[in-house]
Amino acid sequence: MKTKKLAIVGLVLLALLVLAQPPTVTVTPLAVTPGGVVTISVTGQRGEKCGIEIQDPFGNSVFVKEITLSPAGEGSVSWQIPTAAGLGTYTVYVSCEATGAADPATFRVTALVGGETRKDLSSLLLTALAVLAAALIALSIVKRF
Amino acid sequence: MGSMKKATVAFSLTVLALLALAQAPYPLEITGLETKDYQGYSKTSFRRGEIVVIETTIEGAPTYYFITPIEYLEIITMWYGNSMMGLLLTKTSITFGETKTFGGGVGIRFTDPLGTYRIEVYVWNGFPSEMGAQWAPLAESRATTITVTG
Repeated sequence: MKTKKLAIVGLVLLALLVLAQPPTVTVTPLAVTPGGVVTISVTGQRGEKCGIEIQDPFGNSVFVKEITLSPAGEGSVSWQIPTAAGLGTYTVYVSCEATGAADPATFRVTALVGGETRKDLSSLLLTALAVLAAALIALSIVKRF
Repeated sequence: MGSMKKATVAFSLTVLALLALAQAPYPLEITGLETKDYQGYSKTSFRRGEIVVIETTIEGAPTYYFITPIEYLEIITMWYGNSMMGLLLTKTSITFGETKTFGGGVGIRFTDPLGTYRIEVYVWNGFPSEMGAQWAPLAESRATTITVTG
């Protein structure tokens, strides 16, 4: 009888512990360039709603989204970072209605090497076109003589 | 315990269970979500350079009674794929039986992409960054779409 009671108490405590587990949050990649995409994956209780907020390095909320976790207790959102986004550390806050709040996660928005914010291929294409045009002109001159 | 007493208890419990089931999961309801033009006419197709006027209506859920006013944060977001194209928000409170209208305009820039944009409305008790584990949605979210043509 005593064992039965203890087992019930144990099960209740275990259930409470499971319920008290905060959601798990994964941010990928941890460093991204402006215009890139960052994905936030959340694991919690099935069917619960979660609020996701991203703050920029200046503390402004720049991304806000609500998701409902799948029957497996999973969900994710992706954010395409604006090309004009400020560089620095962004903080991700996730709170769910049943499992509570996850520890804030962070990712960095960094510039490309040399201060580029995106690859500009126009000069390369123009050079290739100029070389092609010169080659065609040279070929036509050679053919005439 | 007499059989009459047992029946009364069972009946009361059944009524309570039914009441709990009938109660809306959230105290508030987004009863209206509409996109309009600058003149206030309903519209779902916009051109670059135009302003999308988004209007929402919030009410207390009909099966949810509350005595003290509920403070809430309403967030309107406009999305093109994974890009957030616009964000409008307000923090206010609502009393039972009251209707609150909130909206605003989001401009479509000439550099913005063409296609289908999704507008999502959330009603929360605050931002996750400020509420932490106490964060909660206060209404079922709602969404609509608009089309942006050249």
